[in-house]
Amino acid sequence: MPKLDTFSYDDKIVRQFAIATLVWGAIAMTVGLYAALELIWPNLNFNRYITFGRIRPLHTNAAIFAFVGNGIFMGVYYSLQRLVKARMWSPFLSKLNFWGWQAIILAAAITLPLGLTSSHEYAELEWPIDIAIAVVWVAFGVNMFGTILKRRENHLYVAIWFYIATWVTVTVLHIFNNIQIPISLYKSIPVFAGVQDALIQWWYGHNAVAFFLTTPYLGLMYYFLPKAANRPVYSYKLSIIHFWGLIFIYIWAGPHHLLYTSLPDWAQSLGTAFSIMLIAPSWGGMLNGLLTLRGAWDRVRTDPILKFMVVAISAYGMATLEGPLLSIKSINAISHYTDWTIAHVHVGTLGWNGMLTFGILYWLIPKLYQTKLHSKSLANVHFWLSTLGTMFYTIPLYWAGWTQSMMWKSFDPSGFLTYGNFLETVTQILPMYRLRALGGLIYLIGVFIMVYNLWITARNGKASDTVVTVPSRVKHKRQKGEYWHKWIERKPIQLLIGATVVVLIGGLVEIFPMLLIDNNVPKIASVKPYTPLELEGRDIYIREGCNTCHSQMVRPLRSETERYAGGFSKSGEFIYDRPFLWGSKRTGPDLHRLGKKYSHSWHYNHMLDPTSTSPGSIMPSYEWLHTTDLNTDYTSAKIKVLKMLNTPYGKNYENHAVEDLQKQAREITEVLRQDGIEQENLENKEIIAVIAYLQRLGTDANPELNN
Amino acid sequence: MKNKKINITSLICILSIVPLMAKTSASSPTLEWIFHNLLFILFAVLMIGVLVTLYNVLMNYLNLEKKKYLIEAGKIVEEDTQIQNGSALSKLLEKAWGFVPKEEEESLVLDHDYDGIVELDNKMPPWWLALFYGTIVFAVVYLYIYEWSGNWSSTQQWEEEVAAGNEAKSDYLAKMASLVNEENVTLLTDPDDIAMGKKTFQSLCIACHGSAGEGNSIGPNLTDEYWLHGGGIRNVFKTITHGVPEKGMIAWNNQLEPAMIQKVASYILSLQGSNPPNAKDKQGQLWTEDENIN
Repeated sequence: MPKLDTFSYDDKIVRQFAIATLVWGAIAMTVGLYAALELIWPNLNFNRYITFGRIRPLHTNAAIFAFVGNGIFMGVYYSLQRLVKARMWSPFLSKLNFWGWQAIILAAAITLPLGLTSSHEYAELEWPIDIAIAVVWVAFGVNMFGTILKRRENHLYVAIWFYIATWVTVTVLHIFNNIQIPISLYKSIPVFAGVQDALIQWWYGHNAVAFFLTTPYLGLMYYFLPKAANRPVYSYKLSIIHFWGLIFIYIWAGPHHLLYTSLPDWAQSLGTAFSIMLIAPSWGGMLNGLLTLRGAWDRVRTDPILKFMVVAISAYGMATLEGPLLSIKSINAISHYTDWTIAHVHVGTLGWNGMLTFGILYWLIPKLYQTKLHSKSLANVHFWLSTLGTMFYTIPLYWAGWTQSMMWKSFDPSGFLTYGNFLETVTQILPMYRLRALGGLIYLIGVFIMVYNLWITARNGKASDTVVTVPSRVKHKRQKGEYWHKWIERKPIQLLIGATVVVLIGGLVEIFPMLLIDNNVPKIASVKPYTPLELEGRDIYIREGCNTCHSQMVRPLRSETERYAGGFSKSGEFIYDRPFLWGSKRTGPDLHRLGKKYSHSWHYNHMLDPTSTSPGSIMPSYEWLHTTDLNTDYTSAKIKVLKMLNTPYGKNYENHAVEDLQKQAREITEVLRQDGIEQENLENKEIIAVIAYLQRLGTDANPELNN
Repeated sequence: MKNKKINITSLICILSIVPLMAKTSASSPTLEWIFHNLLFILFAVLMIGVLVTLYNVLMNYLNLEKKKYLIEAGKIVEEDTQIQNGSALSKLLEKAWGFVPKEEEESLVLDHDYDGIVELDNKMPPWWLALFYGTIVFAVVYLYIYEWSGNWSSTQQWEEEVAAGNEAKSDYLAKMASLVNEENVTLLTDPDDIAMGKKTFQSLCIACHGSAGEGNSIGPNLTDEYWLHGGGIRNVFKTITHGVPEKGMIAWNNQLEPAMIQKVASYILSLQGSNPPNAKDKQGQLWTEDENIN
């Protein structure tokens, strides 16, 4: 007879994370709504800190890392303790995890509107915050393993396998995608350039979806769904196969974000092939979830918690079928760069992450405060608002994406683009943007109702830790005929190593050849490094988040080489691009062949008031570029770092970089003056650097333009 | 065992058919179309199949639940359910899912619980496993076609697409006899043509040349007799067609067909001497038609 231990679970940390989830969730979605409204009413971009280019990354970061991130910690801290029958190992690390994570979010909320960004999607935060993330994430992992090691259960439940895979993979991804050399506290230069940078970024970006939005939430589903439904998990074998299949295959699929780009074909093909193989492992999770409800469907009709969970799991199933389909080149050629992608990810985030979080919160908060949910009918109202909101959000965007893509590709019989003016394809879908904002608003109202409902619930209850008495752990003896997988479930360290090996394979096979084999990126002799002025202009382009709405990647499709004359983009053109700026969405046109297409004065006027040159444009005015002096304090430091990374600037070039910069600025200013643009001190303004950069874009591959 | 054999046979069949189709595709346009859209077709079929199955199963479940209720409430007797449940389709579905009747569920419970959660030892749904195997086969075939069978690089696809587009374009232009070029272009005076030229001008040109062609800080005045790149229909046509990139004038030949450029040029020339308000000062050379005919 084992001896009995009496102890309590640390529920305070769970409550803290739950509150953070609610607060940040509401904020993240409010910011999202604001961004959606900016597309309809460009006047909302009324100052430099809240333009769409800066707000959109804030929205995505807040939704992913603040809302879902806190949701993960909430769910893991609650379920892990109970699944291993042990209190969290280190209260200090728990606190560090909580307060550190909130501080990071706060830092993001401050730095992103300030324009401090590395421009890597979902990894925008600058290097000091990256280091803080690494520290807090490792603290979380150590605390998790400490707890697992002093467990009172012999075996680890499937939810914990997912938590472990999540932890190790996010660690690897985060570190690799943020290898940068600091220039100052606020600015760094990535070590990898162009295609390589792009591949690593999307290996990261794709797996942020996989290992931050998917695997931890599958873990949560495996705990909270059977708990809420009070039903056994359908199939243990399915859990095993889909777990290992999912983590092995997911990591390979990153290149499907770069189909038809300058990424070598072989990497694109691997991305597609593995994306297709991902369907079944993804659906394994959905099936195990839905089939767990076998025999409880009658309750799904009445219980809002189960309703949320069922819709969440269905949304997961839809998104993970759609994802692989979008990875097929012929479909991707239609969907990519359009709102189709935005619709797709919102099925995942609003449907899967949002609704599962809501379901868990409605189940968990009453437990954490030892009371009953304040109002079941309000929860039901919230459920319907969420469902309706998701539909109003996604359906118009699918429509918009499809419509716009068809317009981009449409040729008239005489062989010309039917909609040669990009702007026509934007104004066409503005009504859909209005409906989308309405969908977002509906969803957000539901969230506020939930916050109110759970707040009253918590106020009516009492916060205290759960005390339990459980038998202490008895060493397990291997049983005859026991399933082989039981072995690794007893060995957390081996499980960690196994998961690490499995997730590393795909990344290594795809990334290392790209870094090591030169002919993956054929050189183009006429491609030269940026001048110091262009470099500064490029950094302003990054600061303003231009890449949020403009791609720099002309795909090898006739409709694109026709629209963006100058040939499709080649990998050799990007070898000095640190970071790469290919973008992932075209709210405005592609800019890779913009150089020399318009006059300097056109750009000057366009940035001052886009509607003056493009009537009906929804691009905001960037008038502050015309009034702010260009900061050249770090120019030579940037040149120095780039030289270190083998950019062929001349010997000691950093010493006369600023001189060169001023010379080029004067030349541009002179041309503007000839066009009748007079402004005091114009040659020192940021706009000159931006013009220099824009006029350089994509011209190196077409040297005839430079004459 | 038997099932496995069938799986492997069908696998080999699929594997051999696809490259075969790729080879024959060059000869028949229909086959080619099918092959180019193979992925699409396969997935459309797959998706529809899966959705129908899911729908059926869900409906089946809801029915069973409903019947359970009705039986419990004493409204119907057990046999009714059994009879309706014995159809061929439902048997097939049972098989595809590999369900064990709910009464026997107890026997599948694994002897372990995690915080009250127990797991069943149900087998993986056979259709799901088939899907998994199927996608693996698909991936192998896909990689083979794209990486080793040649002819499928992005560049090559682009070249073919452009060649086809250009061919269609020149066929059309020849057919429509709308082949206007800078050698043979003439000034149009028909009011309908001028009106169409004006419409295009109003949507594309006014940003740089003003709504009445008076010019602004970007583009020159188009209503006076002074021209930077030559006046007269042939020069104006040429300037619009090829642009003057170093001055910021865009080449419009990718957005407008020659006949339309002719109309726009004719409209612009119809503005000569209109003296709009705020006209920009003269730039370039005085143009007189007779002197410059060559």
